[in-house]
Amino acid sequence: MIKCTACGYELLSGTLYCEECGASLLEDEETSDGTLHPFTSLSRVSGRPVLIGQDVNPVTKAELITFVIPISGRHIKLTLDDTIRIGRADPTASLYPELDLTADGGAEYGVSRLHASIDLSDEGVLIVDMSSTNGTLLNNYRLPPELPYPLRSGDEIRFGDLLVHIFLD
Amino acid sequence: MSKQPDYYIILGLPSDATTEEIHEAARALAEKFPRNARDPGVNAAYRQLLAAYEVLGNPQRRAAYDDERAQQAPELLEVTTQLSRRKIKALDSDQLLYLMVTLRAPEHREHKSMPLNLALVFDRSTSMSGERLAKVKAAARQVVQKLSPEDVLSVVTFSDRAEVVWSASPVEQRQRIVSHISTIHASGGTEILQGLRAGVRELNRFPLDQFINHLVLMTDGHTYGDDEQCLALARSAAARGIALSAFGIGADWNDLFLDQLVTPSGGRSAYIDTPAQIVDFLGDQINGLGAIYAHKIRLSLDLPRGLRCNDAIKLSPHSLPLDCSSLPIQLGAVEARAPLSLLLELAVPPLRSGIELALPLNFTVDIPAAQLHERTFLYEERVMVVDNDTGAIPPPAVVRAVQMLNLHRMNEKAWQDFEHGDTEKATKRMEVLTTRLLEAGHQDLAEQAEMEKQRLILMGTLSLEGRKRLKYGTRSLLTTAVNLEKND
Repeated sequence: MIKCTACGYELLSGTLYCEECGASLLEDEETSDGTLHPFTSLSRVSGRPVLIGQDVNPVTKAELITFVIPISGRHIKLTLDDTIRIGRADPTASLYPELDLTADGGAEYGVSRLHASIDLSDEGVLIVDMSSTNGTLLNNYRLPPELPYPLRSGDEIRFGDLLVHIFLD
Repeated sequence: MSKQPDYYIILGLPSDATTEEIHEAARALAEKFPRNARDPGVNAAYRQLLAAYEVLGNPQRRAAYDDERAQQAPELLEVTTQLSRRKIKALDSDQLLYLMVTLRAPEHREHKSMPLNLALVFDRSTSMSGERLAKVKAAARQVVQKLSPEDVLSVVTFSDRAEVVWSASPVEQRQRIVSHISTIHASGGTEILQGLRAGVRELNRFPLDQFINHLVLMTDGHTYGDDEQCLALARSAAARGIALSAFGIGADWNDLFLDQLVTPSGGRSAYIDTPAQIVDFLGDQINGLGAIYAHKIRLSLDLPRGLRCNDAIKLSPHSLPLDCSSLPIQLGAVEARAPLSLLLELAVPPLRSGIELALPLNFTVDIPAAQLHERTFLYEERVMVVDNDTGAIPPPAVVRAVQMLNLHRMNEKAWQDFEHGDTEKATKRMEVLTTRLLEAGHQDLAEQAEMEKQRLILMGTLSLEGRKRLKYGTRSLLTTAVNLEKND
């Protein structure tokens, strides 16, 4: 038996979609090593993320951002009072991004040294892909480079092929 | 693609091997299996070896097999299979396995099919008056134009009793048929049995084995008290080679009944939302019938011990739930340009690793163009039971079909909960369904589900119209899952 990661319903192994809530169980099985990750489908939001300026409620009150990296199991909490750069540290260039994904296998997953940045502004918490080599996916939507998109708690981001969940507090 | 295993290849012998060589080869191969692997119930390779030996080792059966083998040489039916997983993990509990099967007419073959023997059976009860009946007549006129002079047509109407508007005869005097159709008027009740009986009688006027026989029923209401007799008639007609399709117009008819009516022959049942669609639906149906390449297709599954078929659903050319509790499963027909595909959900019992499961698929088919009657095609799919999950991703077509099947089931469950009086649960299900339909990009259906949810919250009811729209809407998503594949 397996449990639906979205609603906890018990299902037979080999089930592809939860019969109770309709969530896909595939991604979870692929990336898992037997233990199911509790976050993987929590944030599965389909469709295109909204651009700033569109009619949404931006998250402007957040102070803390938590990055959860399923592949390595790391949880990183950072404050949002300054720009958070995401990438891989490069000592020769004196580049030390606030979120350094080297330890999570960043290089092999195609994370650029300077991949993306996250900022808190009046328009919410925004993510910008900084023309990274392998791109950034927000909830499965490929972000055009150098354009800000608002983030919400529970969003799923892929830097290259590296999956990261974010939570805002 | 998996084909029928060739017994000579299994034994590693040329087709002119002597009987001694066959005995020798079979014994040598059998000894290669460890003693505990010699269980034909679970070990597919061993079972195949036994099957090959049983046939080739017996001169009589071998001669029959050689004949069949020689005849099958040109491919008459393309069968493709896709499994959700080719390797499954050895588990202590049951697990699910999905198998998608597609049957196609080979491209190179001429589709010179048999003529049609068609009976149109129309409901002319009072509720059909006005636009509905006008469109039915227009649709019937269109059918008359589409058929060729070799085809046979009969037109029957029914209310409390049946009238033969045009008795079965070749379509030669189109004008006369059309003028007879125009005399149909609406009045009376709905007794489907009367209509079906008259329709079958008309079909029987011509030798059934020389035609593709089809009865098309169009109704907008419930039949009273004769359901069981209708179903018995549908079964006996199917057994004699008469297929049945049923179209329900508007919201007030019994969808389960119409489904059951077409199941014995693998026909089509569909919901016609507005009268304007009647002409298209019927036209589409006749085009399909005219393009039949193979028909009376039955599938028998000889599953290994412990494996069960949980559910079976036809995906294309039109989606229809199939009855896998009674074998063989009736699949209907393969049309020239539209493949027939179906999805099977199999429950696999706990198994040890190292076992290879064989899933034999035996199709019995009539192919008029090749003058084949009740020809059996044997195919086999195999699954390995392994220790570790291979993490392989199921084929996208299978994933899509299962996703759509799941949406369809979620909808059915919501209605079941409602019928059992659990409004709260039904509401919750409609809400979840709305979200999932939106995610999958089906705005119209999502809106309908949202409306039903609102109805449940505000008035504690659901609408008949919503029932039909969501049921047939989510069901037709299954067909889109297959059609997408063609564009990949």
